[in-house]
Order: sequence, then structure tokens, then C-alpha cells
Amino acid sequence: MIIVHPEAFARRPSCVLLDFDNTLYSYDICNLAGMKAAATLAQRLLNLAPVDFDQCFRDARTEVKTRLGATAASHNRLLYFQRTIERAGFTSQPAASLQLEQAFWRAYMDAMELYPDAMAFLNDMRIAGIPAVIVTDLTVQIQMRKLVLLGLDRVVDWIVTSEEAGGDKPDPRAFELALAKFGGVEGDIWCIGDSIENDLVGARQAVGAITLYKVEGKPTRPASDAVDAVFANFADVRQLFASQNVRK
Amino acid sequence: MIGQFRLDKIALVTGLVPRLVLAILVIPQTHTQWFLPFLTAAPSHGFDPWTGFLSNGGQSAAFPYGFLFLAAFEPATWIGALLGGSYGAHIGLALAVLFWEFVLLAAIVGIGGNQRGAAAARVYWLSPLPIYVGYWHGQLDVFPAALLVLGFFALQHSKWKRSGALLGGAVAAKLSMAIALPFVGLYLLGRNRLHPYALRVSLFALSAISVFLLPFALSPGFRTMVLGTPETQKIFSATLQITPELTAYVLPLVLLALFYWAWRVRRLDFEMTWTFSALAVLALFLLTTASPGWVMWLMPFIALHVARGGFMHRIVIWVFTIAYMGLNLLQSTGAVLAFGPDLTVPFVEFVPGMRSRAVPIIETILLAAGIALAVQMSFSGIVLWPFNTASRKPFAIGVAGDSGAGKDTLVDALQDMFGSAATSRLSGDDYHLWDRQNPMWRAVTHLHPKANDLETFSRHVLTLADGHDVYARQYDHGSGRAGRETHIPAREIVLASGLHALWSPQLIARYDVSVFMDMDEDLRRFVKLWRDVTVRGYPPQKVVDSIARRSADRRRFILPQARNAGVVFRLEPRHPSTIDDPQRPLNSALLRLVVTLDQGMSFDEPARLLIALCGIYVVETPLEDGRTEVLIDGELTSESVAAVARRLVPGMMDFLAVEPKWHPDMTGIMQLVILYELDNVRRKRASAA
Repeated sequence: MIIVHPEAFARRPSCVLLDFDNTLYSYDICNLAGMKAAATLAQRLLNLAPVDFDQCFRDARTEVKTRLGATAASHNRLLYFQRTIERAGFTSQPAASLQLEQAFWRAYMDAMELYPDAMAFLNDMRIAGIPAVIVTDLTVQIQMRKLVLLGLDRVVDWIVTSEEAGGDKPDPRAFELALAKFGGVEGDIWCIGDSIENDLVGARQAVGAITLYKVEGKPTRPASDAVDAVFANFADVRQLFASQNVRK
Repeated sequence: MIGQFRLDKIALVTGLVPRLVLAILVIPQTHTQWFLPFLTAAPSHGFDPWTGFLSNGGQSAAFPYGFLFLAAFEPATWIGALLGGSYGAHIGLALAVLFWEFVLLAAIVGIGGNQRGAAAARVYWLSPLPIYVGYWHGQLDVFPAALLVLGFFALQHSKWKRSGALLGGAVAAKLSMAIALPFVGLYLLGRNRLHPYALRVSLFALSAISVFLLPFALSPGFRTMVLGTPETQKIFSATLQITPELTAYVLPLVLLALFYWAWRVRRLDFEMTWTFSALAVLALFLLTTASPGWVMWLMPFIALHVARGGFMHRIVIWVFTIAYMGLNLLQSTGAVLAFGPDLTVPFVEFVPGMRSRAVPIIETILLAAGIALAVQMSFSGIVLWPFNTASRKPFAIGVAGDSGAGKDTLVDALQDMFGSAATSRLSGDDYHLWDRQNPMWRAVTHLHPKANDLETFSRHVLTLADGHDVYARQYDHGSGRAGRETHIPAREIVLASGLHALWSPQLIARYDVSVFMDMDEDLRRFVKLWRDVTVRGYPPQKVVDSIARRSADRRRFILPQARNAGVVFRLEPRHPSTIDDPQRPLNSALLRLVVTLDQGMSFDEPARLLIALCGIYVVETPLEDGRTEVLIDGELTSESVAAVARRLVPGMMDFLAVEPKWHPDMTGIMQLVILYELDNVRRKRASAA
């Protein structure tokens, strides 16, 4: 763990805002599993070769994102798959789109595993009475299913999705809504996320959060000044928090 | 797929530095005297390096290994020799050892899984034993150990052909590795569900042995150096003098005892097979004049054992390690320091009397630690192992309910899940007292207990549940007559279904899971009519009359059995239109399920997983009598059911078919519910042990 601004961690936080996807579990592994399942099904249903499916999917996602902008719906896999099928030369195929979406999420969720010590860290927060809020993009239905699957609903106090807030991060509304849910907070706010721009800069600008950047592999000192600490393992964040308890 | 290394940086460096330092600074006597002369000369001897080496005056003990060893160590040694002469060849050989250590580490991590694998990797990597063996004493035994563990890893993941080839390769590389094969054989043959794969593993193992061993047996040099090595006689080195005329070989005796134990246990899962193999290798190590390198065969077993255990495991391993290191530093050959003194002569040579006093003391300590290790392994990996405690007796599942309520559908689904090779199935229909044409049926219905031989049914179920075969008649629904007695072998899961499966108090007490199949009455009439007319070929009016005639007995004898059930499944149509056309087959996706669970039985975890993974509707309601009612509605695929099962009951996976068939929709939910209840029974049996 690299503490870029040690003075930012002189006190215990009063609340913790957490990004979800790729911060608490590995998005890439799950997405890969989901895409593999969808591609296999597309070949069976539509005789669409995996390489063509991948290309159509990439184009479809770009198109949907461009058209919808930074909204929750722009992450909707059902839209992606609908457009994937259409771009592959078929008319809209609602049944196939739904099947692809279900296959994707089933395989995606089947591969989901919390990062080591992530649950222990959230338990630390719960025991210390520090509210933990998930602030995440995407639609609430699928995010809630993921939370329940990982058992996070038992340790996280609140959840804010971009569908609820009205815009994707770094839209300040998401962070403001997170604090508003429990009546605001006095003291330091930690924001933990894997995107400097969307999570950390967004939270700093919206609510003045102290920022912890979650990375894969070896942490390196970031170029951005918006990052107060970089870490790869939640064990390090637990240790940081424990040392604050000692100081307190 | 082999698991990722999960060594943290400090552990990696801590283990790597002494290896590299020793590789650079130390040239073991085994390298200079044996391996390097052979390996550097091998390329010039063509296809038969053994004969060529001997004909040029080489020592027969220089390389007592076959083709696979040659392939594993020759390339790096040859490249090293090209770049740096004899010192380069030594470095090349040492780096090849390091490479095979990484392979072995990966296999250990793969077998242990995330947490245990990571801990085992740390134990292995930081233990002084592999460092001493590989880089001070200079042995190459890491290679057959790696092949053996890779073979086990493939076995664990049902990669049958690969497992056979790797295990056979391990034996071809080092004949001693064959010591594990009998236990792999028992693993595959002891459980019916694995029988189909036994032949595949055997064929590939034999092929690997044939390809990598037999052709070379034609070489005189190979026969002298590899097959004629005095090490093969070590199995007979320990003897037990029972009387002056009666002598027994200790190691074969112990191995036979182990084999007998494994055979009596009957059902081995992977962990137990691994532990029996560990005990056999440990016996080989302790009860022979073991070469220092043989401890490498033990290392994977030790590492995974310590990774599972607590303080006492670590104490025993430390004593074992210190004794082994002390013993071998004293009496085994050492190495030449690349830029310093010659330390090849065993230290014991310098201290008179040490060989007669100190060495036996250390050997005794090593033997004691080894026996303690064997006891620990036996308890944690066999005697108290959850699979063993859970599978000593079959799981018995009783399914009662009225005709057409879905008993057979459920039992079929359970058989699909566990595999027909693992299930003994008894149907109450086979115990009707009279054939269909018998006039007695005018007086009583099939639903009356007196119309059935419930005593024999109970005896048969209890006998199967006790692990013994039975002979039972089978009713032919086509002819309406009882057939001849057929042999029903006792298997891991006993499935007893029938109108009165929950009638006998003895049976109710014995069942691990007791299920009552209820059904919405309109739905039941629809299903019964459809099945009896379409499948069994009865006239429709006869079926309708039969339903009406049976209704009193149904209320009197069948429905009360629901009180004896731990789980009641009630299927309902989501909408009446689902069953309004008797000509149309039932669409199971249009049904919903109400599960009533006995007091104290929880459904929280399955409910959460079903909601999260499958996105279906699950609502739990506590009833006034203490039971819990769960309403489940929604469509789900068999893949979703499989995904829930993997997360919900990982401990039950060893009891399922190698490729379990999961059902979609509500039948899949029933599979999950019963599996979940059996998992609770499994835990209970384990804690009771």
C-alpha cells in the first residue's frame, strides 16, 4: 500500500463510500465468464461464430453507450445483446436477447468471488459503527442481486446506483445521494474505488472524500493528485484502519 | 487449470534466495560424480545413452533414471554446458530442478485450492528440506514427485486421460511412484459412479508406462543402470524376525495393511485417496534405507497436511525436518563450494563414535516423528475426514405421496443428480400384495396399508440403508403383475418411494431426508389422468373412477404421512388455465412450488442464492406450528440450478454423479432442497464423529 498523503489518514473515517464492480471483486474474470457463456449460446441459437459475436457485441456496446451517455441504461446487457443480434444481421429477437442476457449474468455471477479481506474490512466498518455505502453504476436490479449473492447486504448499510441517482459517476448526485441517505455526516469520508476519474475524482469533488485507489498487482505511486492512497489488498486497508484505532 | 501461485513477495524471495545462492555457489557431489558426467555425455550417445555411457567406462549408478528424467533435465544441462562448460552444466541442471519445483508448487496449489493451496505452497517453499535435497545434496527427485502430484491434480478435476498419462509417466520416471496406484485404483473402483472412468485412467497409465519404459528395456545399458539399480531391493530392507524360522518383510506388510484398510473403507473420495497414498509413501520412506532425495516424494503430502492442520502438525513437521536434516548432514555426501572448501565427505566421518551413537538416536527421532505424522494424517485425512464419516452408511431418502403426486419424477431427478450407479431405488408399487386382476382390489384400494407388504418394504429399505444388498420383486405397470425378484445392490444413496414410504416409524427414524409430495388436487388429477392414460395405457374412465374411489383412503392413510415428513413439496399451477386442457402435456415452467420445512430447518441460504443467482421469487413465511413455508415462483434453467448447487453445497459435490443432470424449474428446486438437507445431515454425521 502506498500512502500518498499521510495527513489524510490522521483520523478515522466517519463513513466509507465504496465502488462495487472491480473494487470488491474482479470484474474482468466475471465478465470474461459471462461473455464466454453468451458467445457459446449465440453460436447455438443463431449460428453466430464467437469471433463475429465478439465484434458485433463490441460495436453494439459502443453504439449504446454513445447513444445513451452516462446513464444506468447504458450498461444494460440486454440492450447490448439486442443490438448485437441486430448488428449480426437479424431482426430483433427478444427471446434470444433475453436468453443471452440470462446466460451472461448467470455465468458472470457464478464466477463472482469477493477479493480476499474485503468482507473482513466491511465487518471492521460494521463493528466500528462506520456506515458503508455502495455507490455504483449500472441498474439496481442486477447490482442488488450481486450484493445478495456475495452476502454484502449483511454488512453494507446503503446502496446507491446510477439508475437511482440519475447519472453515472463521476456525476456528483450519486455521492450526494449516498450521504443524504443517512442524513449527512461529519468528519472524514473515505471513497474506495478502482477508477480515479469516476470514483475518486468524483467523490472528492462532490463530497470532499479521502480517496483510496484499488489496483490489481503491485501498487505504484499515481500521477493524479486526487489519490490519497493506493492499495492492492484489503488487508492493507484493514491494517491502515486498525492503526488509526490505535492512534485514536 | 493449475491454480495461480499465491506466494507473497517476501515468501517467494525468502525461498528463492537460498536456492539461487546454493545453485551458484555449491556443486553437489551427486552432480559431479553422477548426473553431470552422464547428462553431458548423453547427446553423443544417440538413442541409447545408457549403454553408450557404460561402454565408455561410466559408473552404473550415475543416472538410474529413464527417458523422462533425461527429457526433463538434459536440455538445460546441455545448454548450460555449451555456455559455461562443466560449471554451466551444473547451473543448467540446478535451474532445471528449480523449474520442476515451480511445476510441483503449481500442482500443490492446484490440489489445495485457494487458501490451503497457498498455505501449502508456503510450507513447501520455505521448508529447508527441498532446498537441501535439490541444491546441497543435488537430487532430482522433484521431477517424479511433480508428475505424481500433477496426475493427482488431473484426477481431482476428472481429467481421466490426463491423470492416467501423468500417473503412468510418474511410474515410468520412478518405479517407486507405483506405490500410489493401488489407492487410485480403489478410488475409481470403490465408487460405482467412477467405474466408467477406471478403464480410461488405467489405459492411459499403462500406455504411458509402456511408451516411456518398455522400449528402453531393450537397451542393455538401461537394464543395468535403471532396472538393475540396487534401490529396487530396498523394499525388502526392513525385516521382522518373528521366530528363528519366520521372517516378515516390514514394508510390504505395512503396505498390504494400508491397502486392506483402504479396501475396507470401500468408498474413497479424492482427499482420502491422497492421504492413503501419502501414508504409503511415508511408509516407504521410513521403513527402508531411504535415499536422501526420497523426502521430495513426501514433500507435497507434508505441505498439504501442514496447511490443513494446527499447532501440533507444525511441531511434528519441525521435529521431522530437524531430524532429517541432522541425519543427512551427518551421514550423506555433501558438496563442493564453487570458490571454497570441499565439503563432500559426510561429517560423520570426522567424529569417531558418532555413527554408532548419535546417528541411531536421530534415526529414532525421525522414525518417531514419521509415525506421529502418519497418525495425524490418518486421523485428519481418513478417520475423521467428513466424507468418510458421512459415507460410512448410505444416505436414505424417503418419498411418500399419493399416486400422481410426482414421487417418481422426484426420484428420477434425484437419480439424475446422484447418478444411477450411486443409487439404490425401491418403489412401493413393487410391494402391492396382489396383481392388478386380483378381485381383492374390489374390497380395498392400493392406498390401504393392508393392501401392501409394508413389512418387507421396510425391511428392504433398512437393509439397503444398512449397506447390504436386497432382492425385490418389480411390478410391471403394463401387465399389472409382479415380476421376478431382482437384485438391488446397496449403494451410496437409497431412494425409497411409495404411497406409504413414510408410514413405518422405523423407516421415518432411519431416513436422512423424508419428503412428502403434496400437489394441488386439480393438478394431481390432471397429472394422474395424463400419466395413467398416456404413459401406462389405462382407460380414462377407469382412472377417473379410481381417483374417486380412493379419495377416502387418501385422506385416511396418505395425507397424514405429511406430518412425518421433514420436507413437504406442494406443486401448484400458477394459473388454472395451465391444466384446463387434458390433451395438452403439462408445462412444468407454469408451476410454482410451496416447500414446507419442519421446525428448525432453515432455508435462508438457498433462498438468497435463488434470488441472487436466478432472479426468482422466494418468500419464506413462518407457520404457527413452527414450520416454515417457502413459496418459490419463477423459471430457472438447469444451468442456474447447477450454479446454485455449486455455491450452496460444495461439500456434497463428491456425492454427486461426475456429470450430474440438473433439472430446470421446480424439479431443479426440489433437487436443491434435498441436496441442502443432505448436506446438513453430512455435517451432523461429521460432527458426531
